[in-house]
Amino acid sequence: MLDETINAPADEAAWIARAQADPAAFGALYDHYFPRIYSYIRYRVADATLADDLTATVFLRALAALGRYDATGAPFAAWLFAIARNAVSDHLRAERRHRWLSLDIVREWISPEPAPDVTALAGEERARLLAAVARLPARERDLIGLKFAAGLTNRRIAELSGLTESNVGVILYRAVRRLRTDLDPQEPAHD
Amino acid sequence: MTDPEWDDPTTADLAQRLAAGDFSADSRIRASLRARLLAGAAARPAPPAPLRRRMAPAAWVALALVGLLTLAVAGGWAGHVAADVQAATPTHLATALATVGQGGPTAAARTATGVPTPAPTGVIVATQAGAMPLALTVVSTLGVRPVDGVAPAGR
Repeated sequence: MLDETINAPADEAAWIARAQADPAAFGALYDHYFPRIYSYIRYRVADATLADDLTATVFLRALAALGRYDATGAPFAAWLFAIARNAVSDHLRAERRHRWLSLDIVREWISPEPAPDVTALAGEERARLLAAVARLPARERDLIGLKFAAGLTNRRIAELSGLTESNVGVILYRAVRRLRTDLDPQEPAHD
Repeated sequence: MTDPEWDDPTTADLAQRLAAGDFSADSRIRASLRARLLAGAAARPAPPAPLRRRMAPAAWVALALVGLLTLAVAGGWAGHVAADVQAATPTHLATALATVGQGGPTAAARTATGVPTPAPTGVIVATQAGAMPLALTVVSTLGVRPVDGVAPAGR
């Protein structure tokens, strides 16, 4: 099972202490977490450019709040992904308010196919996977991102999302089965 | 089910693909964001570390000792005051009330009131510290009216 402690580098505590004393030392944390944060956000939003913007927001917020991070509390990964989750939620809320302005909705009306930027991804397989995740409901996308991109445990996901641990397990199970059916239409539908 | 086992190879393979899905190569800002973050961080001073990280262990020990000493002194003084109040007679209370009421020095109040027994310091302190209503209640309960013989000098 994936766990945030498995993905945490051995000297993470030292990186954090250094960056808290000197924010210019944030680079090591950035390099380590960028792929996971970006991938989590990519699972949550369909647009690569938007994922870039939100990733930037996450790291700016993290750097600004790093002095307040308490290493005796939640693991750094959980703290960072809480920031990422909030950034995405803030965006989705704002988008709902201004949905009539969003070009994404037009794209959704025009075609159920994956967005052009998605299909332009280097690997067709990855593009299909991403497009299938994009068709999941928002909550399932969130949990898929936290589980597989962030690598958090079900318990940590439950703490972040306010769901019970068993509920997280059930939703993830169903989401994966749904993805499987979506990716392979020969599969009988599971739900 | 708390943590579903991916119960067949196909699902397990899908879970593996999801976990391996690193999309960060799609990002067009990875390098520029890093440079921007670090440049911004270098330009501003480091945030102050929390107090408990800023203070050396020796400073914590010293702070704890000062705290304990303060508590001991305060406790001793409070005990002294409490003992005085406990031992106070109605006359003492009346004197204290007169002193506080007049705002004058204890000796002057005693002279003015003609109360022979000086009120212990603790009683004066307790009364001055806001125990006036309590003192009035005690005095009233004991049947001693503060006005008896405690009229301010000159009245």
